[in-house]
Amino acid sequence: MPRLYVVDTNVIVSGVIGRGPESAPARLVSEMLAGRLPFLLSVDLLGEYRRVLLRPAITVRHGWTTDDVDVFLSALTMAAYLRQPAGIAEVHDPLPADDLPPDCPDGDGHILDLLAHEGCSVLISGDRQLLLAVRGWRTALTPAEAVIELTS
Amino acid sequence: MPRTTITLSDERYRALKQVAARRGTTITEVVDRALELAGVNTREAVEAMVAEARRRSALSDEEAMDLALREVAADRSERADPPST
Repeated sequence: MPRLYVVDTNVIVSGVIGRGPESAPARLVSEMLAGRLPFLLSVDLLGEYRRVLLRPAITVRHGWTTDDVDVFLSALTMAAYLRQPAGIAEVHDPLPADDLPPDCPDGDGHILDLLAHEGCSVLISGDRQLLLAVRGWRTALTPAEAVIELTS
Repeated sequence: MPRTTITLSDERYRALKQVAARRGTTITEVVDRALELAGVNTREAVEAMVAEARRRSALSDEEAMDLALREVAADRSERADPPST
């Protein structure tokens, strides 16, 4: 089983609205679209990608219509390994405290559930607080570290 | 442009004609758009769309990540504590 990556929403969004095609988030988005970066996706995480890409402060940057955002997300979804952690999808129960890293920021439950669902999964995020919280429980990489890992 | 033949149920074909009529467009355009939304795009087409978005945005990589972090935090905060209506 290859390493499966959980790509935080901040990586997707900055990969779309940052002008540098060679930036780490941009390269990761391209690798995801090309199917060269095996990544996990849940309905909740996909929903967050969509909501954030459609926030006014973001749409004013990329200039996409709702249909454009859906085309982009459809292409991403075609390349994804889809998972639906039961904790989120069915009963909205949080994971047992013992299964979570300590000091995880609020609002990251859907990311943590995906990471918990797949033992070999690796988080990629630009959120330093989340990276610090996850390290020691799962492997967690900045976008730049992920690009180095992919190209080494 | 290549042409192809597909077989649809009577119900699906009727629905397709109704959608095209409602939208004032052609069956070909409805099918083309549905395929696009189903992810049937060349990777090059989606990459070109992303490249155009990056050109339009013109944010530096650091500014882009900062904005993304702020907007994700705002979304998560709203989800955790939805604004009252």
